[in-house]
Amino acid sequence: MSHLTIAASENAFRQIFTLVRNGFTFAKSDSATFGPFSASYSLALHLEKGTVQLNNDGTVEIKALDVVWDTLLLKVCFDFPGFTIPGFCIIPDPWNGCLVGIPDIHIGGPICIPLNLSGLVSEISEVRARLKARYVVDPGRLPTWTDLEAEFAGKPNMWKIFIDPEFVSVDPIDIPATVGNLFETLVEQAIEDLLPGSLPGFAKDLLMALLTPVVEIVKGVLDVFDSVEDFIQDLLGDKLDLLGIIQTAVADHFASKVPIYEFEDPYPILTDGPLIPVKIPLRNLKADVTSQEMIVTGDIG
Amino acid sequence: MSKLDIDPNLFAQSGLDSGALTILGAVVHRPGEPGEYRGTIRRGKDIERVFYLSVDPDSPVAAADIDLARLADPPARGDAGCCCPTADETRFSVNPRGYALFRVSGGKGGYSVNLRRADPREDTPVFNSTLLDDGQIFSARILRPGRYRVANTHGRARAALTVARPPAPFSGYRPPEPLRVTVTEGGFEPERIDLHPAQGLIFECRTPSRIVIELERADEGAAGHGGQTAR
Repeated sequence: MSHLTIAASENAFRQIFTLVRNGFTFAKSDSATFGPFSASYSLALHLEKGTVQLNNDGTVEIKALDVVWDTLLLKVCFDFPGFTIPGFCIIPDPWNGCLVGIPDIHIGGPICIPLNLSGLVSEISEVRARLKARYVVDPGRLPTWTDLEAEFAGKPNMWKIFIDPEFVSVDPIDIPATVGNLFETLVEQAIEDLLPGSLPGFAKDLLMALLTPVVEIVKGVLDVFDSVEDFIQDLLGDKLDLLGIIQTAVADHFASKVPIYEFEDPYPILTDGPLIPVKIPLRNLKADVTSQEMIVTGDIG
Repeated sequence: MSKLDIDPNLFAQSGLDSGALTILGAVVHRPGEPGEYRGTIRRGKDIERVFYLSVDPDSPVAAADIDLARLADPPARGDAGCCCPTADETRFSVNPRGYALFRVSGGKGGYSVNLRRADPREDTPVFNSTLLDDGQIFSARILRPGRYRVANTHGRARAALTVARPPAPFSGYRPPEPLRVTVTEGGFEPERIDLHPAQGLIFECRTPSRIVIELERADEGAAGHGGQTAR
C-alpha cells in the first residue's frame, strides 16, 4: 500500500486541464516546393474549448478541442503558363497537320498568391491519453550538489505528472468556399499585375481575352482535382503537413512541456521556522484516473 | 512581384510590310531547284548577316525555319557576351519540294532577304523578299483592333481590312483559322478583309507584290476590356 495518496475530482481535473490547455501556443513558418508550385506559410495558434472525460480504464479523453489559427498566412507561387498568342498554319501538310506554320508567341512568368487565413478555427476531435509521472532532474543542477544545495539554488529535482497522449486526432482544416473564390480573384489580380503598365490597352485586352477562366488555369497548374478549397485544404493538411505538425506539437505540449501537477523531491513538509526546511523523499510516484477522479500515489523514504 | 518581360515591338508595331519583316510578319518561299544558296539578311540597304541554304533532294527537312532576328541580332551568350551565330547556326537545309520560312522572333525587325545560288548562273532566279511572286507567301498577324489599308506597292491593288476587338478577359479566346487572300494583277481577292485580333492573314502572291498594311484608324473601344464575344 502506498504511503501517500492525493486525489482530485473530475471537476478539479478539468480546471487543471484548462490551465494546461491555455499554456499551449505554437508558431512556425516554413516553405516547400511541390513540382509545379511552391508554398510557404507562417502560423501561430492556440487551443480553446474541449471536453474532458476520465475513464475507469485509466484513460483521459479530450474531445472537440478547438485549434484557433491566430495567424495563418499562406503563399502559393507558381509559374503562370502565360499568355499565348496562337500561331497558325500557312501550308497544311495533307498527311500530317501543318507543313509550314507560324509558331505561338508565349509570354509567361512566376506569380505568387498571398492568402490570409488567420482566424480560421479547426478541431482536434480526440486526444486519448494516460497520466504519467516523470522524475525530472533539473539540467542546471550540478552533480556534486546535495538536495539542500539544489533547493537553495532553486533547482530541486521534481516529480511531474503529465497527460501523456496515446494518440491525437486532428481534423482537416475546413476551408470555406469563400476562400476558394478569394483565391481565384487574387490569381486574376496577380495575372493582371504581371502586365507592364506601359502596355497599350488593346494589348492587355487581347492578352487577357486569350486566357481561359482562372479556375481552369489554377486547376491546370496546381493539379487541382476538385475545388480550390479542397486544394488548399490538402496543401495545408497533407503537403505542408500542418495536421502532423499540430499533432506533434499538442502531444509534446501535454506529454512533456506543461505538467498538470508537480512535486519537489524531497518534498518540503515543514518550511516555517528558523531552521532549514524538513523534507521527505518521494518514491514510486504514480498517477491514474477513474471515472470520478485523478489519484496520485507514492512512497516516502 | 516582377512584371512580365514582353518584347515592346510585339504591340508597338501596328503596320506590316512584306519587304521589311517584323515580329508579326513572315515570308514563305519554295526554293525548288537543288543547289547551295547564299542568303543575305538586310535592313534597308545594309547587309546584317549572311546565311546558307542547302536545297538538297536528300534533305528530310520539309520546312526550313529561318529566324532572321536570331541570325541578324542574336541574344548575347555567356560572360563574354559573344553574340555571333556559329557557322552551324547560319546553315540550313531543305528538300527541293519543301519551303523556307523567313520570320522574325523578336526585336525591331525591318528585315528583307535576298537568296541566290552560291555559284550564280544567269538563268537561276533570285529570291528577293521585297518582291514576292510565283505563289510566294506573306503572312501577317495583326493584334491591334482598327481599320487598315492594304496595298500592293508594285501595282495599284488596294484592300480594306478591319480587326475586331477581343472578347472579355478569361474567355479562352482563340483566333479563327487564318484568312487567305490571293494577290493577282487584278488586285486582292477578297478586297474586304475582316479579321479577329491575332488571326492569321495569308497573302498568296501570283503577281509581283510587296504587301504593305497600314493602320488607318485604331479602334480604341470603350475604356477597359473589350466585350465582344466573337470566337
